[in-house]
Amino acid sequence: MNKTALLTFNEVSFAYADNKNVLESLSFTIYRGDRILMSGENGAGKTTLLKLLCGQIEPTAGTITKMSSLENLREIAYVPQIQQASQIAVSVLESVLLGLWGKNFSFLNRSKKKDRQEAYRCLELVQMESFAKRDLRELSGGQRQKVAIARALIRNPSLLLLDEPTTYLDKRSKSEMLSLISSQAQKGGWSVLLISHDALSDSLFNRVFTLDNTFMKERSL
Amino acid sequence: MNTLMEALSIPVIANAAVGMICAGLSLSLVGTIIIPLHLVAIRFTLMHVGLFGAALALAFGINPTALAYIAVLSVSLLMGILTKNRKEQASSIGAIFMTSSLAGAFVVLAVTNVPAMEIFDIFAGNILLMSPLDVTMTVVLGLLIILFFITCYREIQLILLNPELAQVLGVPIKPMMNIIFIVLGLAVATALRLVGALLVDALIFLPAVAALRISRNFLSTLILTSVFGALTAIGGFLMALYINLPLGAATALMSTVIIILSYCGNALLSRR
Ligand SMILES: Nc1ncnc2c1ncn2[C@@H]1O[C@H](COP(=O)(O)OP(=O)(O)OP(=O)(O)O)[C@@H](O)[C@H]1O
Ligand SMILES: [Mg+2]
Repeated sequence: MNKTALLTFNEVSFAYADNKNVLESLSFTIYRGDRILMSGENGAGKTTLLKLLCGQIEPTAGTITKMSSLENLREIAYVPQIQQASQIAVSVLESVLLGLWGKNFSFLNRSKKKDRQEAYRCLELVQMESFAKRDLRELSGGQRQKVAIARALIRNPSLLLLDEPTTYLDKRSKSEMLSLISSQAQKGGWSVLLISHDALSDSLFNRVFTLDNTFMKERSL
Repeated sequence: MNTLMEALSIPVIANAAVGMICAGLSLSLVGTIIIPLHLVAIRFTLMHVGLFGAALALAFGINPTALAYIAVLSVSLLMGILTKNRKEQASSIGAIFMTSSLAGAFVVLAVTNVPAMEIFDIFAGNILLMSPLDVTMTVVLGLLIILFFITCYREIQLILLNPELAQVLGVPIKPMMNIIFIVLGLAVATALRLVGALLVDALIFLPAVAALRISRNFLSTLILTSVFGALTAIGGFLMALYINLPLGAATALMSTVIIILSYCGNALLSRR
């Protein structure tokens, strides 16, 4: 198979402020269509790695080479590890719609009816459509996580980053969400990097990484 | 009603009415930003900075309102730059500015012969002293705030929902936060002038608290905030006119009533 590199880490190091390196000289490549499962101990730097990938922080040394289409944040979707409780009233549907910001609308360029329909469809995918009109503040932790997944799916991204997206999900939801993510990714040709501590079914992924601050170990499948 | 028309035919009162309604409709919207971003304490900082500016102005014989505005605006700009998007820093930086400007005001008062009461008079708020220029400025500011909410509706919503997410999606957080701080500064300075330092909350804070209680989505939060703000202003104004209460006190009373009603309303809504 002809593999196209989506992005490459070249000897990337990162340290928060003046602390010691959290990540050190990491090198690896993510190819288009990769579905990667990444694990590693608490504090191994997994979340930090995702933050580097989505441009929230910059490497202190080394470079990240991205395919030109990825330079723009439009093609990246990110499900953060912690779903903060909302401080404002936002309907569940709207909170999913917001995942399209910068792609289908921004500033004076308003969201259209079809964007709302798309948001509803994504809620259906995560089986949360009956909550569409509810206030996000009233959802449980697991429900919030499903909405966050819907908010990422709606973006139809080239690269989907998920930081422990199944922590609060029950057993059945967990396997449903994982197969949903995997099938949507295959359908859309997305690359996925998913962090999880669980031993997940290998059939959903084509690469398995273990991160340990200073090196990324790849277990061949 | 006759008396109301008569009262409004007096230019000073008509000016005041326009200024109050406009402030109620628009300044209150700022509350929907400062509450979720935990910037509530910043308004105290800005009030004291305004006080310092006015003290300086009186000492040098300049227009105190103008200098108060300038001081508040520069500090809000500075706060925006200093806090970047780490909002947790805002309150400690705010505390430093608040203490130093209060100290500054007292030093100015001590070394010059400006009577302290003169400064506090400025901040007691007297809407009947509003000049046509003041009214125009309030209306223009009100329109700017509403325009800001219309053009940046989704962006504001995203930042309030989750700043980290907003950043990852590509929302220009830093410029947006700077604008938010400037809008906050202008709103506080204007409310100071209208209702006085102690009652800024009646216009900027309480209507949003009430709306956040009963709303179930963002648009209704904004609309309700604006409506509550306007009701507060109109109610306060009428009370001041008819019962002869000081305007600040009447406005505060009105916003308290709205808060109580919103709590009752919320209890009713959630019991359904
Ligand atoms: N904002 C921060 N400032 C300073 N140090 C940080 C910050 N965030 C994380 N760290 C440190 O960086 C290291 C890696 O953190 P990171 O969040 O990337 O770990 P993780 O692999 O995601 O862990 P977990 O499995 O617990 O989520 C930790 O030792 C942590 O203490
Ligand atoms: Mg983590």
